[in-house]
Amino acid sequence: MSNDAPQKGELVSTASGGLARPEVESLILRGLQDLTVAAQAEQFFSWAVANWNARRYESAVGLFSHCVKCGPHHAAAHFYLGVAYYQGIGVPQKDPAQAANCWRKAAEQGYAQAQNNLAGLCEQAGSGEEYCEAAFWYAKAAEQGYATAQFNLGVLYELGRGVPQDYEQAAVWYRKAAEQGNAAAQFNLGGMFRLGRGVRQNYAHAASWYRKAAEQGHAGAQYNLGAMCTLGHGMRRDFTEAAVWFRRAAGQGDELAQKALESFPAAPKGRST
Amino acid sequence: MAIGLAFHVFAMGTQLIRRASQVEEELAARRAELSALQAELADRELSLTTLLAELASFQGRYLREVGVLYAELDAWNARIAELLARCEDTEQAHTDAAQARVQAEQTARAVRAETAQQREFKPSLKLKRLYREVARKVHPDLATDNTDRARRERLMAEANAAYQRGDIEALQRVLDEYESGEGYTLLTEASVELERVIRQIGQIRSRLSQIEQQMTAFRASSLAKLKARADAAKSDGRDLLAEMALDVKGRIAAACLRFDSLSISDEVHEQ
Repeated sequence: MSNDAPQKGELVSTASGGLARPEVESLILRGLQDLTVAAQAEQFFSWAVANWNARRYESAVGLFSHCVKCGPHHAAAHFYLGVAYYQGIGVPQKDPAQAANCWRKAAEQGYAQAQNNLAGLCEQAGSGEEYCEAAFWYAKAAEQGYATAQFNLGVLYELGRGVPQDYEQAAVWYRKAAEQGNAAAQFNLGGMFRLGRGVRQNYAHAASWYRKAAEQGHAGAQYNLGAMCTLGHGMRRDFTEAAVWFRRAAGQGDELAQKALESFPAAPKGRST
Repeated sequence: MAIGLAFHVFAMGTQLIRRASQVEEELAARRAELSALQAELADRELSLTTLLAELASFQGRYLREVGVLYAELDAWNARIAELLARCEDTEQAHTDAAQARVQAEQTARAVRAETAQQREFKPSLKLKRLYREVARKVHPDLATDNTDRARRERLMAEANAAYQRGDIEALQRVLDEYESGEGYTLLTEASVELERVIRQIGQIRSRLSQIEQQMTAFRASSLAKLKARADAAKSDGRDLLAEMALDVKGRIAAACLRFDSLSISDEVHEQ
C-alpha cells in the first residue's frame, strides 16, 4: 500500500471511531508498542551476549544497558548487568549495591539465578532484616527448582537465619538439591543423616550421600567418607579405601585429611577386621 | 400550403422519433453502465464490510486474549503503587498511585464489554453471494428520493449487521422486505428515466471512491497494523497473540513477586 498515510483526519477518526473506543485504541497501541520494544530489546540483547562471550565486556555492558532501557522487562539483561557490577568487569569498579539493584529487577521478573544471587548479597549483608529477604528470594528460586538456591535455603533453615530453625525443612531442601547432583547439598544431607537432624539417623544413607559428593570432588565429603570408612559407620571398615579418600581430600588441601593421613604412616596392605 | 404543412408535420415527426430513440439508446447504454457499477459497488461494499467484520473479530480476540491480561497487570501495578504510597508517604508516591489506579480502571473498561464476543469471522460463500445481491439491489445510492433513501439506508445497515454476525436468515429477510416494497415503480418517460439513471451512476461513483478512502483509512489503523503482524506471524506458524499473552503473563508474575517482596519488607518495618 503506497497510500499508507491517512488522507483526511476526519475520515480516519470516524473510521477508527466506528471500531474502537478510545480506551480500546490505546490498548491496541500499547500492544504494538510492546511488540516493537520487545523486538528492539531482543536485538540489543543478542548483540550484548555476543560481545560478552567474546570478552568485550565494556561494549557488552553498554548494549545490556541499551537493552534494559528499551525493554525494562528483559530479566536476562538485568542479570548480566548484575554480574558485571558484582565482578567489576566492563564497569569502572566493583559495585555490589548496583549489582543488587540489577539482580533485584531480574529477580522480580522471576529469573532464578538472579533471585539466588540477590539472596546471597542479602545474606552477606547479614542482619536480621536482610536474612528475611535472603530467605524470601532463595525460596522463590528454590521453588523454581534451582538447585543452588535449594541448597542455600536448606542452610538458612539449618542455621535458623531469616527463618525459624527447622532441621526437617533443611533436610527437605538439601534432598531436593542433592537429588539434582548439587555436591554441597549432598555433603550437608549426608551430615543430616549422620547426626539425625530432621531425618532419622542413618549412617548408611549418610555414607552414600557423602560418596556421591566425594565422587564429584567435594573435599569435605571425601574426608568424611574416609572417616566413615575408618570407623565402619554405614559401611564395612576399610582402611585402604579410607586412605584413598583421605589422600584425595588432602590433595585438595583439606587439613583434617592431611592430619588423618599422618596416622596412616604407610597405606596398610592388609585389611584389619 | 397543405403539402408544405404535411411536410412540416412529417419532418417534425421524424425528428421526434429520432430524438426519442437517441434518448432510449443512451438510456440503454447508461442502464448497462449502471448495472455494471451496481455489481462493482456490491463487490466493494462486500470487501469493506468483510474488512470491518474481520477487524472487529480480531479486536475481540485481542482484547480477550491479551487485553484482559493487561488489565490484570495494571491492577497489580496499581496495588504496588498504592503499597509504595503507604510506605513512603510522599506526594510523588501518592500521585503515582492515583495515576496507576486511573490507568487500571481505563484498561478494565476497555476489556469489560469484550468477554462474550464473537468467534473468528469466516463468511461462507453463500453469505457473501447473498450480501452482494442485497447490496446490488438495496444500496442507498440507488435511491430516487429522500424517502426511498431513508428506507434503503435502514435496510443496508441491517444487512451489514446481519452479514457481520454471519446471520444468513436475517440477511435474507432484508432482501425479502426490500423486494416486497418494490413493484410500484411507475413507468416514466425515457428522458426522466435517463436523468435518474445518470444521477444514480454519479452517486455510485462517489460512493465507490469513498469506499476506497475508507478502506485505506481502516488498513492504516493501529488495529489493522496489529492484525497484519498477527497474520504474518500466522503464516510462519506462530501465534502472535499467544506470544503477547505469554509476555504479559510474565510481567504479571513479576508484579505479584514485586508486591510480595514489598509486603515482606513492609511487615519487617512494622515489626
